[in-house]
Amino acid sequence: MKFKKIIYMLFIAISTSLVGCDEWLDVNKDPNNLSELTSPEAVMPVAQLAIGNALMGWDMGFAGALWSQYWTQDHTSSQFKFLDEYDETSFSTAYTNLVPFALNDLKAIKANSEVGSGHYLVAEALSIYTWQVITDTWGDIPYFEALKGDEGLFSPKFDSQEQIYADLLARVDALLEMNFSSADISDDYDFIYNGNVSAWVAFAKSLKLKLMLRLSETSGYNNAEVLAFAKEGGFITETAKISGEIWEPKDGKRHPMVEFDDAGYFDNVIASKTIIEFLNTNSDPRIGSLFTATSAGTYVGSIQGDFAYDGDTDGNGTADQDEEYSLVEFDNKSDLILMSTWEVNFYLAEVYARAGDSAAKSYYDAAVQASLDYWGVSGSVTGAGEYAEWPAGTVEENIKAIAMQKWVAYCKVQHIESFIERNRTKYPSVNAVEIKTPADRTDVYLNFPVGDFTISVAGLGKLSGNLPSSPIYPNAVITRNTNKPQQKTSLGQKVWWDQKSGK
Amino acid sequence: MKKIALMLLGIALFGVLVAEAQVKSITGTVTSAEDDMGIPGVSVSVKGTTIGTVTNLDGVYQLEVPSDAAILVFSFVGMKTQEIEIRGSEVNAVMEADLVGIDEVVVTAMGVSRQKKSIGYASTSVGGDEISEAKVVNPMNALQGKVAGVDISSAPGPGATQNVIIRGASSFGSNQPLYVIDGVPITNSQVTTGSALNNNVDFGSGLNAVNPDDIQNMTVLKGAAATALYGSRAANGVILITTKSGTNTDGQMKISYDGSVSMLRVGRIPERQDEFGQGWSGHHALDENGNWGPRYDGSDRVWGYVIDNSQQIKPYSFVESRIRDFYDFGLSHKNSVSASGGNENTTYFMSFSHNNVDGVMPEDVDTYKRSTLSTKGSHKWGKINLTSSVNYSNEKTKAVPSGQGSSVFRSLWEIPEDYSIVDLKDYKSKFNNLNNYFTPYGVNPYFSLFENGSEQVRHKVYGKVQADINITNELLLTYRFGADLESTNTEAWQAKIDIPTDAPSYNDQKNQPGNYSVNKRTRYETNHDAFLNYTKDLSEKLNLNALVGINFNQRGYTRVGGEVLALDVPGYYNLTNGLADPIASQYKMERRLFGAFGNVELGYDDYLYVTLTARNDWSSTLPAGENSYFYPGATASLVLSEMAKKMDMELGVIDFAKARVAYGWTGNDAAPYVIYPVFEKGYVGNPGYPNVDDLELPLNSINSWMISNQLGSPNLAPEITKEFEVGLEMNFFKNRIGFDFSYYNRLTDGLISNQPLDPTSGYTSIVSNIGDVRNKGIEALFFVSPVRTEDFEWKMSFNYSKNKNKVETLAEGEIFLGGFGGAGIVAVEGKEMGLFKTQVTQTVTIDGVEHIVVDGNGMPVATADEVVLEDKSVNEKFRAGFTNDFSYKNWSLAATFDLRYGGYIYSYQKDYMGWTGSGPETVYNNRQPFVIPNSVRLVNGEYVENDIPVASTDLHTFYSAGGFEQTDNFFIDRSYLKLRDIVLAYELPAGFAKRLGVAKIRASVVASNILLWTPKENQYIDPETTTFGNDISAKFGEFGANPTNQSYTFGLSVMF
Repeated sequence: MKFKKIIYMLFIAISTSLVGCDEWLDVNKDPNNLSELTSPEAVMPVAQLAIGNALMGWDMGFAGALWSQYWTQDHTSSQFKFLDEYDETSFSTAYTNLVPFALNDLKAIKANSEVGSGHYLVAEALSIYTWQVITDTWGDIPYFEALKGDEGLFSPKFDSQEQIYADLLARVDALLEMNFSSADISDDYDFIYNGNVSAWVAFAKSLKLKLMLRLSETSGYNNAEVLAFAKEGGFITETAKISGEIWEPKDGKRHPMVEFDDAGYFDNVIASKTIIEFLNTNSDPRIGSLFTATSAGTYVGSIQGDFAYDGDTDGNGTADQDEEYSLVEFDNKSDLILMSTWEVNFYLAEVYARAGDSAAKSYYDAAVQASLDYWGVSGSVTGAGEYAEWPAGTVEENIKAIAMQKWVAYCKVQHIESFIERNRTKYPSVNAVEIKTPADRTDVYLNFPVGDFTISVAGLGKLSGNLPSSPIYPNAVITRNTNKPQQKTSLGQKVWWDQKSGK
Repeated sequence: MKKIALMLLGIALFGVLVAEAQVKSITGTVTSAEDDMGIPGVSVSVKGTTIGTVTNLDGVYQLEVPSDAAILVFSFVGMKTQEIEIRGSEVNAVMEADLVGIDEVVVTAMGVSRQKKSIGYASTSVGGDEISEAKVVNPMNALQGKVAGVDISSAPGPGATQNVIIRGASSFGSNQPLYVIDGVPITNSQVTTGSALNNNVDFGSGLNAVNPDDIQNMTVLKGAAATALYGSRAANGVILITTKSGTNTDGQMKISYDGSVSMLRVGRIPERQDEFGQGWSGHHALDENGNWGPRYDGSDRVWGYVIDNSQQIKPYSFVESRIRDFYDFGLSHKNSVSASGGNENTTYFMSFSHNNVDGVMPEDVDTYKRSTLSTKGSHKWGKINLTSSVNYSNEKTKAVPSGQGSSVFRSLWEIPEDYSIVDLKDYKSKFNNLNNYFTPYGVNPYFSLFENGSEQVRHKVYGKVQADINITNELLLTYRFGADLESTNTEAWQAKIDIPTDAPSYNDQKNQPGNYSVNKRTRYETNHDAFLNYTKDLSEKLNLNALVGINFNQRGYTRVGGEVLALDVPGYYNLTNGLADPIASQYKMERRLFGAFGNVELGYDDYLYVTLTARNDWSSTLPAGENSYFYPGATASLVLSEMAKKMDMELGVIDFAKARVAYGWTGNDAAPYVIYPVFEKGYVGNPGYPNVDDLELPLNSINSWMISNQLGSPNLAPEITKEFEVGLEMNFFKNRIGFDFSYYNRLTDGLISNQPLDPTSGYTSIVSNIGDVRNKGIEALFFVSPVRTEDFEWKMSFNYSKNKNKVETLAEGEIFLGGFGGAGIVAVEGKEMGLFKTQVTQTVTIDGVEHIVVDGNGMPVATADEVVLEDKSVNEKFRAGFTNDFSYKNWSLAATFDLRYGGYIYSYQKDYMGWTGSGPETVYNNRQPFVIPNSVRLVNGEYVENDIPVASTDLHTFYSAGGFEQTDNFFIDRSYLKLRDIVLAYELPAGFAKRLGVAKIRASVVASNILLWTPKENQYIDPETTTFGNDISAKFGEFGANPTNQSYTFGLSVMF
C-alpha cells in the first residue's frame, strides 16, 4: 500500500511540474545584452562613430592615403604592400562599419522616431550620406532591398549606381522639404553637431550639393540646375566632424589612426614623394602639419610603391631602404571628418567655375583658407603670385586648380573622398613615366613630375599602367548573397559616374 | 610517501595475520572446457579474502582455507572467472575461454544494464583493466586506436583536451559526445586562454577530472537508436562511464594501489635545411632572424652585438639538435590508492589519486597536478537500495602559450639554424638580455618561457544520490539526482618589454606593454531522473522489460574576468598594476531541459529482441511554444546461433552469430540566447589584427547601444539526427576468430549553425537550421587468436572504420568552420564537410596548357579571392587500429597501432619555416634566381611568356607566401601511423604474491606514441596537434603549436 502511495504522489509531482514547465523553461532572455531600448536615438553614437571609423580607419584611411599618393609602403616592412601593388582588395571592414554598424542602426532610429523629428533628420541625412559613400566606393551595390535581414531578406538584389543616385537625390529632396523648425535633437547622442538642428539642415543641403556635383561627368548632369541650388545657399558653416576631444589614450578609445599607430602599423608608412615634392616645391605651409621633418629638417618622400628597390635613388650613399623619410604622426585629438567647410566651398567653386561665373574665385579662396585655418598655419597660398593663386583660366584649368587644392586639403583628414574626387576630376593627372630600372629612378629623381601622380612601381604591371578605380566587392557579400553579380576582376573597374577620359 | 609506505606495510601485515586463522584443506583440479586438459597457473582464492594459490603443471591445487570459507574463485587470463561453492574437501573447476562475453552485460542508456546479445546496435565497451593499463592521465587516451568509429586526438601539453568525434562530424558547432558518469551527465567544456592564433593555451575539459583507475568500464554508444533515450543531448553519441563500486567481500577490505612514473620526451621536431645560415636576402647579417644568409662554411665568425667592447664567436655551421636540446625530459608520476569492500547490504569504494606531470618545456613552466578523491557507497534496506557517489578533483595547470607574437614557438624559430639555443638560457646575461639580444626582430625564447605564462586551478565536484525501490519483484522505481559543479580560476600574463631606443636590439614592434588577465568561471549541471522499470515474463518464451521516466536538467555558467593591457611595474601581475583601469567583463548563461522517456523491450526465447524507445524534450533554448521535440527509436537483435540451437540445427564451427538492425532519432537543441533580438553595448568593429582593438563606447562619458549584428532567430528548430544501422557479429572456431561489422547511415537534418549573412542585409549572422549533413560508413572489428596453448596466447584485433561525409543541403553558399583570415575550412553544399579554402596561385589556360601567372618580379600571383579546394579536406579516408596481445605465463606484451589515411592539415610551422628560410624546400635551385617554370605575365592586358626570375632577395617573400602554390602549400597530408602504445606487463605468480602478503602484484612498462610515420610531404608536425579548440575546427590544424610528446612509463599495481 505504501508503495502505491509513492507512485501516486510521483504522478502528482510529474503533472504539477508539467503545468509549471513553460514557466520553468522561460530562461532564454539573454542577460548579457539589452532586450529593449526605450529611446531609439541611443544607437546614434555607434552609427556616427562607425561612419567616422570607416572613412579614416583600416581600409579607406590607408588605401585612400596610398592611392591618393600621400603615403607609400616603407622599404623594410610589408603590411601595405598590397595597396601599392594594386592587389585586389575589398574594404570589407569599412563595408561592415558602414552597413550593419551604421545604416542598420540609422534605419532603426528612423523607424522609431516621427517623420520630421530631429532624430529623423539626423538619421536620414547620415543614411543618405553613407549610401553615397558606399556607392561612390563600390559602384553598383544592393540598395533598395538592403537592410531587410529582419524581414528575412538575406540576399538583396544589386542596383545600378544610377538608380541609387536617383533615389538618394529624391530622398534628400524629401528631407529638405520637411519642416524642422520645432524639432530637437538630444545632444547626449550627437557627437557631430551636439543637437544643433539647423546645422543638420545645412548638412542635408550640402549633401544634396555633393550628390549633384558628383554626377558632373554623366550625361544627365545639368550645371545650371546645380548652380541655381548653389545660389540658394544655406550650406554648412561648421565642419561636420566627430571632434578629437572625445578620444582617450586607451585601447579601443583612440582615433582609429592612433589606434593603428599604437599597434605599430605606422612603421609601415612613409611619405610619398608625389605629395612631398608638390608641397616642397610650392613651399606649402601645411607640410609640417601633414608630415614629420627628417633630422635634417627637410621633408623627404619615397617614390610611390618603390619599397622593393634596394639601390640608392638619390645617389647620396645611403640605400633607399636606409634613407630617412618623412613620417606620419596622428595626434589623439584628431577629428573624424564627414564633411568639411573647405569641401563644400570647393564644390561651390567648381559649380560656379563650370558656369564661367567669376564668383568661383571667392569660394576657392575660402576653401583653401579653411584648410590652412584647420591646420592652424599662418600665411597664404592663394594670394597674387602665390602658387595656388586662382588661375581664372579656362573652365578646365579652373577645375584643375580646385582639384589640386582639394587633393592637398584632404590629406590626413578625408582620404577616401580624395580618392573618389580624383577619379571624378582626373586631377592630379597621371604622368606617363614608367619607373623600372635604376636609370629610370635617377631620371625621375632629377626631373620629378611635380603635381602629377606616378603609377606605383610595384603596381605598374597590375592595372596596365592605370590607377585603382574601385575596390572589389567584400567577400562577405560575394559569397553570401545569392543574387550577387560576377566579382570584379581587378581594381580597375570604374563606377558609373567615373566617365571622364584620361587616367 | 613515507606515510603511504607505512600504511601499505600495515595492510600487508594484516593480510598475513588473517591467513593464520583456523583452517581446513581443499584440493581439486582445474581443466579446460576445450580439451579437458589441466590448466596450470590458474589462480584459486577464497572469495573476499587474500587467501589463494595457483594450480601446478597438471592443473592441480591444494589450499588451506578458513573453516568458514564458502566460495572459491578461479581465475586465469583469457578465461572466464568462476566462482564455485565449497562442498566437501574437493572442488574442481572447468574453465571456459573468455574472448567475447556472449552473456556479457553491458550498460545502456540511463545506466540500465542489459545482456549484450539483446542489444540491437553497435556498442563497444572497454574494461577498467585496459584503461588502467594504459597509464594515461585522461581516460579517453586509453581508447585511442581501440574503438572503431571513434576519433580521439589530443592536443600537446600536460592536461590538454581530448577531441572526440564519433562516426564523423555532423554538426558545424559541437561534435563532442555527451559524457555520462554513473547515469549522470557531466559538463565537459573546454577552457582556453588567448585565441587560436595568439597566446593560446588549452587547459583541458571537464573529463580531465576523472581518474582512469576509478573506471570499471567505458561504453561508447555510437548510433542514434542507442542514444535516443538521451534525446536532444545525444546527437554526437554518448560515452557512458561506470565507476568502480565495492562488492560483497563479507566485510573484508580490499586495497589496491596503482602507481606509475613516466618520462616524457618531445616527439616530432621538423626537419630543417642545413645549407644556409643566418642572414637575409643572401647576405650575412648579425642582426637577422632568418636563414637567408650565405652557405655554411664552418669558419669561426663573430655573432651578436659588440657589448662592452666584446663580441661572441662561434662556427658558421648548422646546429643539428638545437631545438630538441631546448626541450627537457618531462617527468610524470602517479599514485592511486583505493579501498573497497562490503557485505550483503552495504558496499563502499574510496579512492585517492595524485598525478604530477612536468612537461617537456625546460624547468617547471609546464606542469599539471591533479588530485582526485572518490567515494561510492550503497546500502540496501528492505526493498530500498540507496547508492551515492561523490567525486572531487583539483587540477592545477601551468602552460606555455602557443601562437604568434613573442611566443616560445616564434622565438625559437626566429633563431638562425647556426645558433645553439641552449646557450641563450641565461636570458639576463650581458649578451642574451633583451636589450642586447642578437636580433631586434625576435625575443630570447627563454625570456618568453620564463616571463610569460598562464595558470589555471580547477575544482570539480560531481556525483549522485540514487534510490532504487523494488515496489514489487517486477516493478522497480529509481530516482537519481546528479550534480556537477566546476569552478576554474585562469590567469594569463605577458611580460612588459621595454627596450630603450638606443639599445642595439631596439625595435618598436618588439616592445610590449605587458598584460595580465584573470577569469573566474563556474559551471554547474544538475540532473534529476525518475523512472519505473517493469520486468515480466509474459509467457515462458516472451519477456517484457519496460521503462518510463522523466528527466529535469539544468545547466548554468558564469564568467567574471578582468584584464589590464599595459602594465606599470614589470613582473607584477595584478589587476591593480595597469597603466589604465582594468577592463572588466562578465557572462552568464542558464538553460533548462525537461524530458519524458520510455523504453519497451520484448525478448522472445532468448534469441529475438525488439526494443522501442521514445523521448520527448522541452528545451529552454528553443522558441517558446515550439520547444517540444520527439525522438523515437527502434532496434531488433536476432541471435542466429541461439535460434539455430533452439531449432536443433548444427552450427559447425560457428559459435555465435547475431544480426542487428536499428533506427533512431536524436537531436541537438540550440545554444541559449539566439532566439530573441538584442541590443549590444556599442562598439565599432576593426580588423582583428594583433593589438588592434575595436572602437568601444563609452566615449567622452557617452554610452551607446546598437542593434546586435546577429539577428534573432524566432523560428529555430532543433537539429535532428536520424540514423539507420545494421550489424552482424560472428564468432568461429571456439571463439578464436570473430568479427563485428556495422554499417550506418546518418542524416543530420536542420543543422544549427551560425549562418553568416551578407552585411548588406543589416546583419552579419543569424543562428539558423542551415543545412543537412549525411554521414555514412562502416565499422569493422576483427579478432583472432592464432596461438592459444597452456602457457602462451597470441591475440590480434583489428578495427577499421570509414566514414563518408556530405553536406547535402546548405542555405548559405559556404560556412566557415575554422581557421583564420587567410586560410580556413568550410562546408559547401554537395561536398564533404571541412574543405580547405585559401588563396592559391593564379593560373591561366592558354591553348589548352595551364600556366602559372606571375607578376613583374616573376613572383606567382595569388588569386584575388580565397578558393575552396575541393580535393583537400580535413577528413581522413579511413582509420584503422591494430592490436597484438601476447601472453606467456605471467608475462604479457601488447602493442596498438593507430593508422589514419588521407585528409589534410594546415601547418603554421611549415608556413613560418618558409619565412625564416629553415624549411628544407627553401634550398630549391641552390637559392639562385629561377624563372618559375611554365609561367606567364600580364603585359598590357595580354599574357606573355615570363622570363623574369624570382630574385634571391625575394625568396623569403616567395616561400613565406607558400612558394609555387601560395597558402595551399601549407596544407599537408595528415595521414599517419602511430605506435600508440606498447605495454609489457608482468604479474607476480599468485603463490609468490601470497608470500609477500598481497593478492596481486603487477608491474608494467608502457611506451606511448614513440613511433610516428607520416608521408614524405609532412616532415613538420605531428598531425594530431591543433590549436583550434576541440571540435571540427580543431581539425583545421596548428598555429605554432608546441610539439607533441612521447612517454615511457613504469607502472606498478598491487592488490591486497
